[in-house]
Amino acid sequence: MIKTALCTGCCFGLNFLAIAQNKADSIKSRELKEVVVTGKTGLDSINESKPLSSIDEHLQKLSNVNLIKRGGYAWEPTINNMATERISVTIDGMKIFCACTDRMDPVTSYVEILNLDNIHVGSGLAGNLHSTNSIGGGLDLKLQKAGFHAQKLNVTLNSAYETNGNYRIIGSGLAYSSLKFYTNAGIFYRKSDDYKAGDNSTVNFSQFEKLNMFTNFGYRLSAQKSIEGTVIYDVASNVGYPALTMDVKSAKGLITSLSYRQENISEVFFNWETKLYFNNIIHVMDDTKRPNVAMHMDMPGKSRTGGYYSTLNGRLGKHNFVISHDSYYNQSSAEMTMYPKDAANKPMFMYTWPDIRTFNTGLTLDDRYIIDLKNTLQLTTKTSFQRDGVESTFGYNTLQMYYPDMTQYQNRGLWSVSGKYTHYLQDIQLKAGVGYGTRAPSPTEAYGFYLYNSFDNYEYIGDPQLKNESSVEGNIAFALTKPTYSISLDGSYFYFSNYIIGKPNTSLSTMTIGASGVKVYQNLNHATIFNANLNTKYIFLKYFHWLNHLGYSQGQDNKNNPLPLIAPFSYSTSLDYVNKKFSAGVDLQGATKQVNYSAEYGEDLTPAYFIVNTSVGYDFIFGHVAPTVKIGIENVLDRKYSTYADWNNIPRKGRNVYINLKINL
Amino acid sequence: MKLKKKYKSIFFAILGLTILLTSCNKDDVKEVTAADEVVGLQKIDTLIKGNYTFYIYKKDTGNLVVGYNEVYIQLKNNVTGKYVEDATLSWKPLMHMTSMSHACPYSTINKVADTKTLYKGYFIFIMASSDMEYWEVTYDYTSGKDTLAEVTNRPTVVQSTGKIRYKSFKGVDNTSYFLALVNPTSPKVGTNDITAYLYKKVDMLTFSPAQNYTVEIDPRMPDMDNHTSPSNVNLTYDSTTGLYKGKLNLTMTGYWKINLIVRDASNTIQKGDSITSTTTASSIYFELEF
Repeated sequence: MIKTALCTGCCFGLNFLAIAQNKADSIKSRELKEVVVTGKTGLDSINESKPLSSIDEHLQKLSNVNLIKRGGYAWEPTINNMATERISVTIDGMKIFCACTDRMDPVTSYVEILNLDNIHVGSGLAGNLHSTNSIGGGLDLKLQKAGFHAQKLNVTLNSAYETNGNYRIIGSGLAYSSLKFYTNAGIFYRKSDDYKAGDNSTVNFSQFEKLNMFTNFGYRLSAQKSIEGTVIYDVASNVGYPALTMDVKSAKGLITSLSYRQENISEVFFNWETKLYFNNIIHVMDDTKRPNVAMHMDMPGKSRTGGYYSTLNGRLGKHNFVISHDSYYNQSSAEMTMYPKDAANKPMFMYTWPDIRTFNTGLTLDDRYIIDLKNTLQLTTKTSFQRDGVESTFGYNTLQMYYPDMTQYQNRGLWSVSGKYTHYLQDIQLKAGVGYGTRAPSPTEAYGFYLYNSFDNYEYIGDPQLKNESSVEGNIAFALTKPTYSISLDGSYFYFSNYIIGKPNTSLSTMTIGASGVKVYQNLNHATIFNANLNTKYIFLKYFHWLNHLGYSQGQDNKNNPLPLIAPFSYSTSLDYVNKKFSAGVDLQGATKQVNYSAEYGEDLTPAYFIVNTSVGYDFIFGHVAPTVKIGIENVLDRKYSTYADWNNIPRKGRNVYINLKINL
Repeated sequence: MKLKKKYKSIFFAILGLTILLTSCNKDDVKEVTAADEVVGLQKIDTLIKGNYTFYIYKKDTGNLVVGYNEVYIQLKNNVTGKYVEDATLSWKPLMHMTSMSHACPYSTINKVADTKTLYKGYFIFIMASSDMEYWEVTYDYTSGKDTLAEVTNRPTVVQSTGKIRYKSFKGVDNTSYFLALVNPTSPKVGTNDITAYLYKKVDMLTFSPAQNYTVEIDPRMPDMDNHTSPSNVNLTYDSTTGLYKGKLNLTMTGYWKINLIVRDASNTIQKGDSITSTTTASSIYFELEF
């Protein structure tokens, strides 16, 4: 149910996050804990206008989610206008952290759309039970699993081509299920040359290449007990970042997990899953292809995370509860070697992430109390202990120059609590929630060293002595659902204390040639972020779906100045015709000009824009083979535009014609 | 019961092991010989006079250089075959130029702490030797009023080919100053102790420590747009050691230029320039590369 709602949202270029969540929160969907479709090999493609688009493109269509773009690949997701350091991104509940100090590799870039069954987007503090250190919300990328069903083998071939950038996609997936054993396997490859902006100008260094291999398996030990495992290996290479001064030679991710699952343990406990996982990311930047490089640098980074979680689901009377314990240990290390123009001088070496170690262990308690058929109350709390520090003596010595009384490791206590009340009144659903949560500073905010940010042209230094950031959240949602139309309105407000952001320190000297100065992360007394979304859907003449979305956000610091990377007023409208095997759609997306931009953080006024996309799709049937063909044109008017979230205003893709082909063998 | 027994045996095993290790340590304490005390040093000269032999050492290989040189001495009584442990040693360097002679800043000779036979001092040579012009060092071993041995040698002193660690200059007071970097010899990223000697010339044969001056440091990386580090501490005079001591912060490895300003006791700049966007280096500086 969650899945369907989300996919539908994706399909029509609109987000039904609010509705999807409402449903997720409802009593029914709780009972449908395990939604597994036999022999499934990826996101439901029937309702997708462009099923083989990247995870980023799928995420882009969700209304609380935005993506910061530094090129054609590996966009950084934000939820409620909060980026990596304030949100949690997990893969099937597994913690995984990027290895690039410059955010070239958000963890969503290490999986492939065909690895996934669905993407769970949770808004705010109660967003994701597996999240840690998150305030804005959580993305959980749910991996596809063939599941234990009657014996069936399903093989799909996928291929796509896009004219803009000569973008080629090819992949194949296999799903085998039986009552005792299931497995999924897939291989997927994408390659794109530089794309062209709206005025037919080539955006240099926007190429990329990605290979993804994926397998998982499940084995049923007994009627109630099973084990599951996953291995994903993902390699991106020769990835250009036109908005940055460097590209990426390779970004390799290995993601593994093994879990033990027990169902129907007793009257009270109906599901218990314990998962062990390990992932390893190695990221290597590359400036050798750029002209006029002032100084050649090597900047490799790595991130390794090992952890486990154990989650018990149960029901006691009117209480549906989840108890989850999780721990993880992360090593994030990045270094920089600079080669001076004067080759007689030795290379200059430093740690930008001085072998940062983070250990976190926490206990989550979640209870949904169904007061009666019309009222539900959900309470969630997580308490965790975190120990973080720098393992490298070299790095410790470095930071001590700036913080002479810092300790090499430090302990932090983190806590969050949230409550949500839902009231059902015939077709109307009302929700109100409040919460309080804290997060520890991210590795960059605590221990980062001279990280150059090309957006505001400052270099950033972390502060190990930062206080935890905290936020009080209030949210409210209203939804009216009728057979032919629906309206939903939701809003959330975050009041931060000790908001962490970089501020210039004029006493510090720059390192990057031409940088404006050095900023040091510090705690602002307070800051606020407000988000509101309106979604409507109207079905008419049986086959036509008309969807609209309006979004508004505001973010302010303690002096009421705008926070950076806050979305301006945005809108989209789409009209789709869906008649069994045939679908067609046209949509328009746009934003008003970004009035509340943050010049302090390198933003400038982003002009208003709108673009038009169209698509048609058809499912053919030839004997046993059932190909699905989707054709579409994006940015039909070939507008040259960039949004507030485009790093250094790099223009987005101009007109693009695509064809997606999926064959079920 | 069984478990208890197991724990008991583990306890005794640990106890036994501890005793064993402790006693081993005691056995390991050997008498330190004179040879042990010069391990890691390079012998640069052996001078025999009468019943005594002077062994002259320095830390690194190669010649003595213009600037700061730490020199170690062992003195052997050739009659007893033993090394002298309570010697009063002195030395005197003199440069014989074609037309004149002069000395250079140098220290007294003192016993190296925690050794029995090793003595140490330093020279700050202010010029290189050549075929025509040479340094002559006179070593004295005295006991009371009597000089028991006096020898000379003519060490080769060369201009250092490495990074600049020594600078001589004329101050605005028209005095000649000699500034030599002592530490760090192996710099690290982070906070380094920086020490230097500052001498001034009184006359051709007399060089005295300049006292209560300040040596301001401004470490820069010319390759990195003259990047500098924070929280450096200027060098101030330590009257017990005669050293100037400060703290030097280095943010990364590579080539660093330590720009200097020398101020006298009344805070007047004798030499050196502040770094600005146009003045990228001081007229006096040290160099470090690691």
